[in-house]
Formats: sequence, C-alpha cells, structure tokens
Amino acid sequence: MSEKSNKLKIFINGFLRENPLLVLNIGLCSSLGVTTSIFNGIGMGVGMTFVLVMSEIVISIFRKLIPSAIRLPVFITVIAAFTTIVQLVLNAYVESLYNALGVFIPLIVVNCIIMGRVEAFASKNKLGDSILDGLGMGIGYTIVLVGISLIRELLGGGTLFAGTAFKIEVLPEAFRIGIFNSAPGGFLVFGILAACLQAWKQYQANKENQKSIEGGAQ
Amino acid sequence: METIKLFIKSALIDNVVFIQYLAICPFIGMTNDTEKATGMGLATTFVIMLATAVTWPLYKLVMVPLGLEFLQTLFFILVIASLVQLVEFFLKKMSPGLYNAMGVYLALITTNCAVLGITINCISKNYNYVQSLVYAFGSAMGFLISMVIMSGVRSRVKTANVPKAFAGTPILYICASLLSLAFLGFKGLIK
Amino acid sequence: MAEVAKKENAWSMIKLGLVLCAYAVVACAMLAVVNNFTAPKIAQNQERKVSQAMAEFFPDSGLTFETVNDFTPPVVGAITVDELYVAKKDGKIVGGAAQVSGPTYDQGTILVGIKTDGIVTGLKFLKLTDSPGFGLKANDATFKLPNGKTFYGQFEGKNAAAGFKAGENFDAISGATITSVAISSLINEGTKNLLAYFDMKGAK
Repeated sequence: MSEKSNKLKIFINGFLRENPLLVLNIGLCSSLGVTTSIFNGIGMGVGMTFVLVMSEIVISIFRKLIPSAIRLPVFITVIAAFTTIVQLVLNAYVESLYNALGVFIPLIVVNCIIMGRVEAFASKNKLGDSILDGLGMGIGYTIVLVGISLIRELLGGGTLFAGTAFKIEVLPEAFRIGIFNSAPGGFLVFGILAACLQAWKQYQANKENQKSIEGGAQ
Repeated sequence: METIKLFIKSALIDNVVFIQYLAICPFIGMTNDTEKATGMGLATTFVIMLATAVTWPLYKLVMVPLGLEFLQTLFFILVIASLVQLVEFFLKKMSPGLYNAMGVYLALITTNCAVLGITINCISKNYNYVQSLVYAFGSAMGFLISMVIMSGVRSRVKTANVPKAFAGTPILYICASLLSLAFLGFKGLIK
Repeated sequence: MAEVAKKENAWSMIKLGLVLCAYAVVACAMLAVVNNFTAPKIAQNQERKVSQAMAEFFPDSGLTFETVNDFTPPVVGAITVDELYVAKKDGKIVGGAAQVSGPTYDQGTILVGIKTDGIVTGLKFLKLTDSPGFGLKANDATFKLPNGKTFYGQFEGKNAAAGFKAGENFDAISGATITSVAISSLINEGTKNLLAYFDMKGAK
C-alpha cells in the first residue's frame, strides 16, 4: 500500500510541489522562448519529456557503471544523444514544429531540469522510480508551458491552436494585445503565473497554520 | 562599420536575455549582488569567446567535410563542458580567491543556454569566423549588461513594497518583462 | 612511492577517459543510425517543396527545372542566396527561382520566381519564424492587405528589376514593418542574382 502511494508521490511531485518551472525555477529559457503558440508549447513539452524520460531510463540502468569522476560528461553525452534524436526526427517528420522551435530544440540538452533530475534522481534510483519521476516532471513542465502558451496565444495572436488543423480564431484583430507575442509578454505571463502559484501555496500554508493554532488552542 | 553594427546588433537589438530568452537561469539565480553578477558575466564571456573560437572551425573544417552535421549538438556541448573544466582548472591555479568565490556556479556555465545558443547561432546564421567572434563578443557583452542591470534593479526591489504573492522570484520576472520592453525599443536602431 | 601513486593516477585518468570515449562512441553510433533514416527524408522534403513551388511559379507544361551550378551568388551581410533554379523550355531559359535566407524579425527563407523579363511569377515562404499575428501574417493565406491581396501574392506580375521598396511598389503589413521590409530585401537579393545570371547566359 505504501509502496504504491510512494510511487504516486514521486509521479505527482513534478506537478505542483516541485514543479520545475514555477517552484524550482529551472529550465526557464525554453519555457519563455517557445510559448507563443499552444502547438509549439505542446511540441516542446513532449520533446523535452521524451529526452528527460529516455535519459533517466538510460542513466538509471547504467548508474552503477558510470564512474563518479566523469559522471557529468557521461550525462551530457546521453542527454545530447537523445536531444539530437528529437532534432532529427522533428526535422524529418514535423518540419513546421522544427522551424517554430528553432534553436530551442538543441537547447533541450542544457535544460537544467534534465541535468538536475538525472543527477539528483536517476543516478541514485531504480529504473521504475526514475521513469515515474521523469514523466511527472515532464508533465508538470508541459502543463505550465501549455498554460503560458494558451494565455500568450489567445491574447497576443487571437487564435487557438495556430499551426495545426484545429486553428480557431477567437479574438478579432482590434482586441489582440501584441505584447504577449513578444519577449516582455513572456516574462510578464510567467511572473503572474509564478505569483499565482506562490499565492496559492501561501494560502495553503496559512490554512495549515490556522488549523494547528486552533488545534493547539483547543 | 559592419563590425560595429554587428556588435551593437548582438549586444542590444538581439540581446541574449531580453530578446532571445537565453541564459535566464543565471539571470534569475545569480543577480542578487552586483559583484557576483559581474563575475559571472565576465566568466561566461570568457567561456563564450573560447567556445565560439573552437566550435566554429570544428564545425566548418571537420564536421561538414565529414558529413557529421547531425552530431553538432553532441560535439558542441562536449566542447563547452571541456572548456569549462579547463577554465575551472586554470582559475583554481591562477586565482584561487575568485575560484572559491564562484563556487559551484562556475560548473553551471556549462548548462548556460546562452553559451550553446550562441555557438549554434553562429553556424545557423552563416557567419564567417571573424563575424562569429564579433557576434559572440557582442552577445556576451549583452549578457553582462543584463546581469548588471538586473542586479541593480534587484537591490532596489529589496527595499520596495512588494505584494506578498509576488515576493521573491515572481516580481523579478515582472522586472525582467519591463527591462525586456525597454530593450525592444532598440529594434529599429539599425536598418 | 610517489612515483607509483603518480603512475596510478595517470592510469586511472586514462581509464576514465576511455570509459567516456566508449559512451560517446555508442552515442554517436546510435545517432548515425537515426540520421540514416531521417536525412534522406529531410532532403526529400526540401526537394518536394522546391519542385512544388516551381510548378506553381511556372505552370506551363513542357518545362524542365534545373539547379544552377555555374554561378555562386555573393553573400551580402546576413542574407544568403541558398540556391538558384532555372526553368527551361526546349533548352532555353524562360525564368528562374531563387531560394534566399536571411533575417526578418526572426529568420526567413523565401523562394521567389521571375521570368527572364524580370516579372515576378510568385513568392513562397519555405520558413518564417516571426511572431504569429504580426510578421507571420506574411505567410498567411487568410490575411488580406487593404488592396485585397495576400502579402506574398501582391508581388506577382510586378517587375523586380527596380527592386522592391515598401510603400512605393508594394504594401507592408501594418504592425509588421520590419518583417515586410526585411522580406523585400530577401526578394531583391534573389532577383538581383537571378537577373545577373540571365544576363550571363544571354537569356534576356
């Protein structure tokens, strides 16, 4: 029973409590650069999750065979290999995504999230747990990316799902706020989202404090 | 003249942090005091210059003739990691004070998106060797400027009345967005 | 004793180096396999796009399309003419297309087709990464300028010999001036080189 709930904990850790973008503040570069449309956000999220999970798998399997002194270069090699695979496959089969994500695809290799999780988790844990951790972190990352792109695309471009077959024009031209499509907008939306999460966490912490005060008073 | 234009373009108009969204991690993580920010900026500049100087010939003179372009990401990041190790090694020997002050952040230059991003951009924008070095230097200066500016802004924010939800990192992103807006103003600077 | 320690140190470092090499070699081998599958597909995609565009630019039947190999356009600033293509009818050049890459608001790659008299037959975007809702409208089939045409459609039938200037012989997208002007620079660079090539071949 506790084994299962432990595994579940590892999985949903990456969603809220240790959300890599909003809480741990790592892996930020790609989250701001690719969120001008939902299609790009999902694409980046899936790509990054693929590299993260595959790297965690490989490093978890080989964790006893990687000498500690050269572990960082070996991690980099593994992560870079999977990043290149994503690059090549996207270029061949989903070219629109490849062009839209641009330089941020090879930058997946220096995404602090992947390096961080591989170092902190996969190199010390079993295969099953590592997969769950990778999936959890990847999904948490993708959720935030989609959230940011939703806001930015809707308010900035006025469309939903531009770049795919499901494109819907929502806002008429006069109501689009251009700033959300460019650099400042990215920072702005990110800051507001981070503040929302922080506010929610503070609210939770306050509730807990209230409970313990009332409990103590009784 | 073209060189100066390229320098201004890469430092201000296409600023690595505010326009290209690279190197956000050290931008947020290492700007709590100006000395640390400047030190990090200068160390990163050094690595960026070195990395561009090595990866450009590696790509153009070795990888392209051998048809190994698909290994670009792998080779570039390994070169950067090795260069950072070398820099660490030399810093330890030459200036142990600086080495100790930088601590673990020196190794983090490897995962600095700007370093890999700049080396890749030099190739994808088809610059020649000299142009690549100017572009790299300009971008690195742009990074240094953004670090220093942000550390100044942060010291002011410390004494400001920030709403509770924004305290800590969220307010930094709002500041970054305002700075980014300012840098967008450079867009029409060079035709 | 120190000698032995130094030797052991050197040997252990070499061992570590070899282990790292082993990982790197395996990674490279894996990537080479994937590349084998994807590289031909990527080249195919590119060819397909170009031949599709050429067919649109020059809809007459009986034309052959060739890549130009005897003329290297000079690189101007950050704009590169990637490739020049010619359309031939019965061995005579009737027009050509240029693939030009360069900076727009972000980066763009266009394919512009002209006949030997300099009249533009079409403009296509192979790649445009500008902001959606702004610069990206240049590639949008549903976006119409005040004159009723799409951005890329407005160049058809115009003479490229004088070069395109925003506001004078073509309309820029309002709110996307930098993109519009940059694209005109790409077009001008491409047509300039095409016309020079036509001259060189005595095709005008």
